[in-house]
Parts: sequence; C-alpha cells; structure tokens
Amino acid sequence: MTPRGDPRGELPEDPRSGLRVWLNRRHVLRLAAFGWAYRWQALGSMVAMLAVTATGLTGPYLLRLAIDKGIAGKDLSYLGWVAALYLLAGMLGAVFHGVQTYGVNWVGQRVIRDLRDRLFRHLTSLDIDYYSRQRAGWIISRLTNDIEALETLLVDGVAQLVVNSLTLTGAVIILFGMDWRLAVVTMAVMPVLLLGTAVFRVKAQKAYRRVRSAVADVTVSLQESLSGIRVIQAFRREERNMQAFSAVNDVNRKANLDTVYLSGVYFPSVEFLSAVSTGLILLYGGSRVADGDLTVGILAAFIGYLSSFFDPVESLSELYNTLQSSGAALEKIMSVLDTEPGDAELLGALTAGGIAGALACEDVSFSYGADSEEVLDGVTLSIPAGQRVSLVGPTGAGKSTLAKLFLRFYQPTSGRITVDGADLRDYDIRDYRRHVGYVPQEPYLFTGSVLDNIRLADPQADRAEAERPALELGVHDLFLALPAGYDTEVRERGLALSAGERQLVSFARAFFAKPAVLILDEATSSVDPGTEYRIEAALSRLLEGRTSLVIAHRLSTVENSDRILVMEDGRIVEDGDHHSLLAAGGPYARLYRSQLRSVEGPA
Amino acid sequence: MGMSTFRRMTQLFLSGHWPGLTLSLVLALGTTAMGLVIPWLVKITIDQALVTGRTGLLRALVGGIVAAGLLRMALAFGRRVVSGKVALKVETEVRDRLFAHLQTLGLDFYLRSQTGQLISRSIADVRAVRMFLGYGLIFIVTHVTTLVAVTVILLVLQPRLALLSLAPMPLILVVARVFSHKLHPTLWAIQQRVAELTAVAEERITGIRVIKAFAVEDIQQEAFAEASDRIYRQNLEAASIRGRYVPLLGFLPSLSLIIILFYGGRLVVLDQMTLGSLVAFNGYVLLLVWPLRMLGMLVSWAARAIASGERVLELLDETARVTDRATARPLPRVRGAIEFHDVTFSYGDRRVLDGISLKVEPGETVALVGPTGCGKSTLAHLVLRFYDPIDGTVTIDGHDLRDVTLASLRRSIGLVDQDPFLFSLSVRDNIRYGDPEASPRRVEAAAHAAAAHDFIEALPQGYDTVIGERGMTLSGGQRQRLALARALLIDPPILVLDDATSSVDAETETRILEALGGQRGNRTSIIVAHRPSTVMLADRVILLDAGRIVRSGPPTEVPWQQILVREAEQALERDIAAAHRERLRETSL
Repeated sequence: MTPRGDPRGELPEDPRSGLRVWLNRRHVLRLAAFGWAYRWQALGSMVAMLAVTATGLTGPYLLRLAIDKGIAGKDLSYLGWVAALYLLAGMLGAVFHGVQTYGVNWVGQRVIRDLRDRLFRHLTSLDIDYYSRQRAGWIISRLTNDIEALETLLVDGVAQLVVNSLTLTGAVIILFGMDWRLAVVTMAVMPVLLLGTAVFRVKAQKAYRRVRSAVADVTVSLQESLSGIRVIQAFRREERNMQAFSAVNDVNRKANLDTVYLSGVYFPSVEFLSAVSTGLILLYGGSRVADGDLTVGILAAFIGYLSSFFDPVESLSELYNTLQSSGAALEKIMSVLDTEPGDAELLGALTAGGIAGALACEDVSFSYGADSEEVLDGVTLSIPAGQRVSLVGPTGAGKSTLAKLFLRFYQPTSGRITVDGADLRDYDIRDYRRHVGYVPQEPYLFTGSVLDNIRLADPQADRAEAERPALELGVHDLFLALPAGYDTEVRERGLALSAGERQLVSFARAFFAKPAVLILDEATSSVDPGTEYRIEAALSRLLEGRTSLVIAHRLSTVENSDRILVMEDGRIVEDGDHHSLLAAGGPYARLYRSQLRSVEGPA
Repeated sequence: MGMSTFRRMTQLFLSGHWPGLTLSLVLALGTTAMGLVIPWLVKITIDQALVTGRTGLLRALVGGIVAAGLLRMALAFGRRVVSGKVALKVETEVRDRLFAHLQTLGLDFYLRSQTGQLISRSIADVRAVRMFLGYGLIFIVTHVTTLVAVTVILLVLQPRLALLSLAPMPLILVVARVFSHKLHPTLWAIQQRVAELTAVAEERITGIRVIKAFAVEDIQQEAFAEASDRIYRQNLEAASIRGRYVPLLGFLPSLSLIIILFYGGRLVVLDQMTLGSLVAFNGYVLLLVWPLRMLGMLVSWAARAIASGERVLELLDETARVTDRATARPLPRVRGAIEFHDVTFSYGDRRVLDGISLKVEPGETVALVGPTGCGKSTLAHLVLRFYDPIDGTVTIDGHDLRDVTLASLRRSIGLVDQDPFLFSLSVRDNIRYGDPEASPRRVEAAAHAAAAHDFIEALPQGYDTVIGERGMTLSGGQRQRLALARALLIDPPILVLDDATSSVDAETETRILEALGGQRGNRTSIIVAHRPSTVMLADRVILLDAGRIVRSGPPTEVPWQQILVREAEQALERDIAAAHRERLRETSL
C-alpha cells in the first residue's frame, strides 16, 4: 500500500474561503439555522436586551432634567421624582440584565451543543479516506478550540453586538433630538473612526486566521506526541520533540502577538477620539452656553452620552476580535460540515438483514490515491455463502485492502464488489456493516470495561449475552482471570491489557453481533499457541454457516480452511484447498515448506 | 483552594516577567491617571470658562483635554503591547513547560490519563491562565487604583456627598466575594466537562475504523452528545449564577449616581456646591461604575483562571516515578549481560511478574513465550526501565538500572514495540528517529536489515514519502518493518523485540531474523514471540506463566508449544465440564 500524495497529509483549505473570512454570510445563516428552534427564547432575550439598553440610556437624560429643571428651577420635589425614576430605571435594568444573561446563555449554549453534536455526527459519517488524510489533532481542534471560539461569539458576542448597537443608535437619536447642531459637532470624528475601523478590520482578519491555524498546529503536535510517548521515550527524542513543540508553540505566540499590536493601536485611538469629541463639545457648546443659546444641562447630558457613544464603538471593535476568531473558527467548522461523506459512506436502499454472505469481486482494482500505485490489480473472485477462505501472501500484497473493500471502507477504483449478487454500493452501508464481523490487525479498544468493549455494538446487552462470544471462543476463563474479570477497566486504547488480551476482546466483539460474514485480519497474531489452539478449536464450529475471510501468516490457521487464496502484488496467484495447493508446488507450497523448515530449525 | 493556587500560579508562571509586568502596570496607572484628568478638566471648563465666558481659557482647557487624550492613547498603546507580550510569553512558557513535563512522565501516568484530557489542559486551560495573568491582573490593579483615586478626589470635592455616594461600596465588595465563591466550582466543573468531551472525541476520532466497522456511529454520537450536554448544563448553571450576580453588581453603583443626583442637586440648589462640581462628581462616579460593573466579569475571569490554573498545576505536580537519581551515571560501554534478580511487578492491583530471576548472557538471544497476559511484554519493558520493579532489581552488566542515566540506558537498547507507532514524518525521518543526523546510507542499511528497503523504494517518493498519522496507509507488516529499521539504525548492543514481526509474513520474517542472527555478533536480544519460526531462532526459550518462569532451555528442548496447547486443552475441558455441571444444575432445578 502506498501513502497519499499530499505531503502534509492534510486536506487543503478551500481557496475561495481565504478571501473573505470575516463572517461569511452563508455560514452565519447556517449558524442561525441552528438557533431557529430556540427563536422564541432568542426573541425573549432580545426584548430583554432592548429593555437593558433603554434603561441604560435614560441616565444622562434624567441628569439633564435634574440639572435644567430641578436644580436651575430650584424645584426639590422635581429632583426627588427624577431620582426615583432613576432608581426605577436602574432596578428594571438589573432585572432585564439578569433575564438577558440567562436567556442568551440558554440559547447560545444550546446552539453550541447542537452544533458540536452535529459536527461530531457529521465526522462519524465521513469515510475512512478522510481520516487517512486528516490528522486526529486537527479534527479534535475543530471540536474543541473552534467550538470554544464560537461559544464566545454566541454567548458574549451576540448580546454585546445587540446591546452596543442599540445603545449607539439610541445615543445618536437622543443627541440629535436634544440639539442637532451640537450632535453634528460631536459626530465630527466619525469619518476618522470609520476609516480606522475599516483598516483595523482588514488587518485583524488576517491575524486571526493565523491564530486559528496556529492553535490547531499546537493541538496536532501535542496529540501525536502524547500518542507516541513510548517511542519518544525509548528513542530519547524528548529534547528534540520539545524543540519542535516549542517552535509550533512560538508560532502560535507570534500569531497572537500580531493581534495584540493591532488592538494596541486601535482601541487607544478610539479613546483618544472620544477625548477629542469631549473637547469639541465643550468648545462649541461652551460658546453657545455663553451666548445663552444652550443650557448647561444639555451640555452635561451630551458629555454623559459621549460614553454611551464611544463605549459601544469600543466594545463593538473589541467584539471584532471575537468575531474574527469566531469567523475563522466558523469557517473551519463549516468546511468540515461541507465535506461530503464520500462514496464509501453513501446509504443505499438495500438492507442486509438475512444476507447469506456470498461475496464476489468482479475485476476489482484499487489504489489509495490517483498518483499511487495500484494495490489491487484486477481481482476477480467469488466466495459462496458459508465458505471459509484464507488469504495468504507477503506483506503489502493487498490482503488487508481486499478485506477493507468488503467492508466498503473504500470503493474499488474500477470493477465492482457484490454481496449476495447485489452491488455492495446499493446496500445501506451501516446496516450491511452490522452483519459483518471484523477483527482488525490492530485491536482498538475504548476507555471502559472489557464487557463494554465486547458489547460495543449494543451497549444495552446484558452480561450473559456479552459473555457468550468469549464462552464460544473458549477464552472465557482468560477474561475471568483479569483483576476484575469482565469488569476490568481497559483504559484508553486498552493499554491496561496485554496485546494478546486486546486481540481477544476485539475477537469477542466481532462475534458478539452474530455476523453473517467475518473478516479476520491477522486476528490472532499476538496470542500464544495455547490461546490460538482454543480459538482454532472454536472457529471450525463458529464459522459454520458463516462466510469468512481470514488473513493469517501462521499456516496452522490456514490449513483448516475450505479454500486458500494466495495473493502477490495485488493479484490472486493461487486458489485452492491446502492439499491441492501443496500438490501444485506453487507459491503456497513454497511458503508452507519455508515455514515448516524454520520451525524444525536449520538443519 | 483559590488563594494558594493563585499564589503558586504567580510564583511559578510569572517569575522572570516581573519587569515587564511592572512596566505594564506603570503604563496602566498612567493611562488611568489620564482618564481621571479629563473629567477634572471638564469640571474646570464648566465652572470657570463657561460661567465666566472666557473663550481664551475655554480654548486652553479644551487643548488640555485633547493633550491628555493623546497622552492616554500613547500610554494605553504601550500598556497593551507590553502586557500582551508578557501574557503571550507566559502562556507559551507554561505550555512548553507542561509539554516538557509530560514527556518526562512515565508510562504509568499515561496508563491512567486520557490523551484528550491532557490536550484540553495544555491548550484551553493554559489559554485561560494567560488571559487572566495577562489582562485580568492588570485590570484588577488599575481598577483598584481608580477606585482609590476617585474616592480621594470625591472626598476633596465634597466630603459629605462623597461619603454618602460611596455608601453602597462595601455592599458591592461583599456581593462580589459571594459571587466569586459561588462561581469558582462551577467554572472548574465546566473545564473538567470540556476535557472529558475532548477525551471522548479523541478516542472516537482515533478509533473511527472500529466504529465504522461495527456501524456503531449512532451509539458513539449518543456518547458524545451526552458529554456535550453535560457541558451545556454546567454552563447553564454558571449562567444562572452570573444572571443573578452580574446585574446586581451593575445596579449597585447606580445607587451612587442617584444619591449624587438627589443629594448633590439639593446642595447645588442650596448654593452649597457648584454645578460644575456636580457634573464632575457625576463624571467621576461614572468612572467608578465601569470598574465596578467589570468587577462581575473580572470575578468570573479570575475564577476561571484559578480553576484552569489548578488543572495545569495538577499536571505539573505529577511526579515522574522513573527518573535519574542524583547519583546516576552514564552506562559504560555495554556488553549486554542482563540480569533480573527476583523481580516483582504489578500494574495497580494486577500482579504481572512474581519473583522473576533470569540471566541473559552478552550476545545471547532469548525468546520469551507464554500465555496471553503472562508478563512477557512487561519483562521486556523493564529492561528499558519504562517502569521500576516493585521488588528486586534489573541490571545490565551488573549495573542496577536505577543507578544509570535513563538517556544512556535507552541509547543502548533498540525497542520494537507491539504497536508500531510511526510519526507524521517521512519514511527516512521515521527510521532515523533515534538519531536524526544519521546519513542516508545508514538509513538504507537499517531498512535493508529490516527487509524494508524494497517496499520503501516502491513508495511514490521513496524514502521521502510522508506517512500519515500512525502510518495509517501502510500495511501492518510494512509498519512493523519500519519500526524494526528504526531500532536497528541506532545499532544498539541490546535489542528488544516485543512481538515485532507478528504481521510480517513468515518468509520475510525468516529472512529478517536470519539476517539479524548473522550480523548480531555481540548483540543481546530479547524477543517476545508467538510464532514457532521466530522462537526457533533464539538461543534459549523462556516459558512464562502467571508472572513466573516455568521452563527454560534451548528451543529444541523446551516443548513450549505443546505445553501451552496442553494447558489450553485442559482449560477448555474444565470449561466444558463447568458448562456441563451448569447444565446439570439447571435441568435438576
């Protein structure tokens, strides 16, 4: 088998998306669709935000009334009323603020949960090919770092966006309502503000993209180092690995640093503009107060509203940070959601219930990528239902690949595979796979007990049912001998078990589902001859009435099969039972003799 | 909980950054001061310039306001850049340190931990710590300064009004404290839930082939959805705490504004205070409102950072069990005599080796055989000192492994593990993993010795072909041969092959092992194997059972296969007999 052409082994980014990252409208709409189910709650939160804004805006206006009417008019009871109103507004504001905080979280966290679930669901529907190209750390970064960035947007961002925009609009309206000429002067800094914001936006866009891919690189590096820790320690690569990680980590730091410089320039500048505006109000307004054309109350209110004007602008720009990283994260998430599951995962209409398990290949060729060598080269083969077939041949001959094609992990590049005479493409793939038992070369166990791992296909199965396959395989007592028997925790990847025990669990797991077809890819390579003997003794009984494809190197496993296929360089070069192949004196006979010789020892 | 973690965080993470932090603090204080100057100038403007109508003074004061604004801008820029730099540096350092620490931890730690958990702590938690140490801390200091400065200014302006308007302040501090106490555990739990989800995702993503083969996507999605829902519920709990306290913290300062308006207005009416002072008072208290409202946010921030800090410290506190002793010396030139003296070992409560004594001569090849789970791999791993025995000693050339440096020990041993983990690197870099400077010639020689050269040459880019994560696109036998080449490249005096050729076809295996035997000369080899053809090539076979050596001798004399098969037969008979008894019991009922 040959690896993919892409040197980094990762899917390229969509080139079109590189141009306009900042919250792609289509993506935002799709994100909004996740919130549609909670539209009423969202609307409720929105109303609360509106109320928060309104009560917040009353402050300076009440101040103006207090100064102009209460103080200037020397009317103490009026002053009292204004103060009471102020108190009421404050209390109402607090209540609505509480409602808003809870409501926004309620909706935002739900949307995030739904999106995360959807993303994971989509990921599990993608074909194996995707996983051979994409590094696990990259995918994990989507599910964690990017979702976290979006959470910031939905929970803090949206509320800030709404409240600040409303405050800004409200402040502008009130300013113009109080005195339009002074309002125009106040807004004089607007063009500079808009221009600066536009420049900031363009630069920040790029910086935040770099941050997102840098943090994904850190995750990838970390994930691989953690998974390969045993090799790292055995080969003393800690030092070098540390340097490599430091490098990636530092790229992440530098990417973040760019954003620091950008906001370092932008936000203080906005604050400066606010000071300029204050000066302008005083300069122009002051001369009008002197002329008796404007009350001091209005002037004070204007200065009060300035913070209602510049604070939102600042918050909104601060929000840009959030929007930028969320935009980049959203884009990455959507790119995963947009990845087609691949032909291999298409759900056909045929269900596999009651299949007999007659497998056939018609002139099947396969390669792992367009520029890779063919792993299978015109394989034609017909396995009647119930036959026990062994597949032998040198490593890299294509045995495992052929087995994987029968699981439809990949589609043949040309030719077709049929099951019970129907094209495998036409089957509902999940339903079909439920009727196929598979023991891969490397058993992969999940955190949990032995029992849980065996009943992977049906976690609700009772204990007796989950113990059945091991009983049938004659290895029940081996599981019972574990520290907590079937309840022994196997830990991540099954590390608490020995390699042989992991294989046994994997074996039992395959039989648990009572499959019609069994594919055993070197399923007993790590067990001792004794355990193998037990399994061998059980297999002849267990495989009866089931179609099986057994890949093995130990000829003791092979001898008992109904039929032996010898593969070399992607082709089937011999086909027959043990005795006829021995008599034929071809590759199988040679293989057999060489193994026999090595067992007997060099003469 | 909170404070001691906080102290340790600052000690551990901020050392060496104090100059930067101090500078950013000074800059932050300057920024705050400028922020306080502006309302003061506004007050003077209203009181002096407007009331008297002196336009010259008005212009000068406005000029002063703009100048203060400019200065504030420069200081704020400096503050942001300096503190941003420090914070990122701290984050990077903490993460580097965590990574370096994780690499020193032994396999016992990795047996206990989930990769996803470690990823989450190294990334999300470290980031949270950075956010707080970088920004939060500075905010707290500037806010506290603002608070003090404003209080002083107000007291100077109008003592009575000041005392009245600052009356709600103690209440605010009490509320903030309660808030932080309630929030902290929830936020810790959120971080924990996130790490759990990362672990679920990590395992599902790396195990996707099994999930697909068993068509259990639905069940896994449910498991993920459950983890996801736990985060959601925890977040909602935090939201309900925030929803109650944050608005309260926002509302309490407006009480001050109301007092100013009502009582201050009265004072102006009664001519006991100027209007300008009232406006300024109002302006100053508004300056307080922001930090006080931020208090809620800062409290959540600090709580989250401390929660994350605890989780990071927890990892840093993990001590490596297998480390160099202070007196450890490099292993001298290795002859390859390995000896186990009465070695006992358990994983937790699982006893794996039970008083093993074994002497391997230099240059000898020993095959370890025995039933599944009998301790073969563990015995092999003890030679590399992945673990220390609970009892007894392991020596090489008479040196107790605990007395030599790990680096020198492992440099002398080539390991080919059961699971041939390969990195996302080129074939060449994978082979020279143990010696990145190795010449192409040595890489090829190692590949030849592992019978890997031919298939490598057939790859699209030969030795430069990058193999995917975990070498996914190579066949099992090919990966095992690369792992073997990787071990042979360092030309180790001791070779440990843990079921290293199980996926290689018999013919190729024989070729490899015969070649190894031919060139092995003085190399000591420990081979864990199941195939008779592999075992036949050893000088001696050691049969283990339940952590004990039951037989040993030349492979031609120890009928280990027969013994194992006989035991299996007996076990099966017992099983059948047990099943029979069971059936009898059932029918008799």
